[in-house]
Amino acid sequence: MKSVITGYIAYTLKTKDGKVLLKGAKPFNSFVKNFMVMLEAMFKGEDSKTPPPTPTQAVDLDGNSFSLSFPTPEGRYGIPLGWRVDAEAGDLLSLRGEPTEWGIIVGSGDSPTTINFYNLESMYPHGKDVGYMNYMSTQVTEPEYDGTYVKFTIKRLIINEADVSQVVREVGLIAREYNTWKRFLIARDVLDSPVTMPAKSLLEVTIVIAGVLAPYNVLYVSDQAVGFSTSQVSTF
Amino acid sequence: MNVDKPIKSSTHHSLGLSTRVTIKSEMQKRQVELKGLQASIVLTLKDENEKVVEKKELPANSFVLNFMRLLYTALTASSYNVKDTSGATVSAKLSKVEKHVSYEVEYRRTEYERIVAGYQAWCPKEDDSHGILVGNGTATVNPEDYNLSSKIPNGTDSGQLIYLASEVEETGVVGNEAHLFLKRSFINHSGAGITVREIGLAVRQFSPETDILIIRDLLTEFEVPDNYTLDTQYTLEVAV
Repeated sequence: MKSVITGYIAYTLKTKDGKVLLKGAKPFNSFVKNFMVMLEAMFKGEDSKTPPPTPTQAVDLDGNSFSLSFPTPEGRYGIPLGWRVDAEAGDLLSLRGEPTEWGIIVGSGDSPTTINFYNLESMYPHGKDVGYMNYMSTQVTEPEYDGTYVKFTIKRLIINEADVSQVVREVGLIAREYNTWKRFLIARDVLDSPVTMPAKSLLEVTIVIAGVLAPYNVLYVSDQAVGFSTSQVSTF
Repeated sequence: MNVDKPIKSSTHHSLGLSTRVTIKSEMQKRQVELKGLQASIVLTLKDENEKVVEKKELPANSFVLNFMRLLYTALTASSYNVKDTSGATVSAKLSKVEKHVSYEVEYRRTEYERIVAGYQAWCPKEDDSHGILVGNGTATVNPEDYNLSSKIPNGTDSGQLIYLASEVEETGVVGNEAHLFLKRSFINHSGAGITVREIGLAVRQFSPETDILIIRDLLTEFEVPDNYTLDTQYTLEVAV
């Protein structure tokens, strides 16, 4: 028996009317160094009386190093928690004056991921013009356990509001720290085939993080929850 | 890597009937090498002169459900119910807490505020509540496990090992892999050999304060003679 925390990315391209144009999926292969730094920060935590060794610094989207931290103790003014990936809609974040590019983010770069990647190669920022994507909120489901593997899904609907087609080749998962609003990439994958998003089309991206508790199960092909059909209707 | 597509059924055959049926398509399956977060264990046995007498490296096979639950809370800044090492259901949350500490030694009272945070996998010596733990139980690993099957307690009495500090090192990078080492040593001063059959990793959270097991592995029997030291190491690793 071997266990691994892994997953897959599934995507569905739809017209603005909801007609499915394309579906695809690929194994989720690319946790980067920041992910491990995040685990290290979790496992070291903080202790004012007996400080643990200084954690490794994460690298934000601009390439600057910083220490992941926990902002404010419970009971004091502020939020006691660390960071998160469940970003609200880009428009809402923008309205609040907060950074908009975090959660699931897509880009047009296709260079292979290396362990020290700290940003997408060529991100589509939030917006509605050419070179931008309109990001809806990032949804995260609670963990589910089916007896073989435990998983939770991170999902986001992304709209190409521009009047031209735009190509998606890479998908990233970006967390945002509470106290500094610093954002750090924890995973990035290049799609096997570029997805050309026609003007006004929608791309639903689902990242499934799965803890596989059995050896090398093929876990993604039969997952209907992300759009894979196991049957086809025929008339004869 | 391309996803296997369902086998498509034929779309139209005229048999003079108009029955509409659903044809089950058989899923194609193939093995893929899953990447992601993986773990391994190194066990090193040293004699009373610190000489290495045995070393084993083996895969750590058993992230338990609690690991995924804690990961979920860390990625969403939310809470989720888990079973702590006592078997009680608690709300897990990656948070920061201010504690008032008060104790008395030799009629002298000490009080201070202590701020703590995280899911701490490190702990001081002689604390066998969290960090890397060892045991002699043989129960098969179950994803729902919340403690070792039979933990070997800290101490120098029969059947006990002295727990040294559990440590979390810095994230390292080699090639296209990033790794994190967690280490702990155990000294046998019990007066007789002790057999280690299981190992695990538990973390401490602070709101509420409790310990949560996140990895448990069974080992082939590993004998620690009296006055020998067992060094243990979990390696967590991601690769692209």
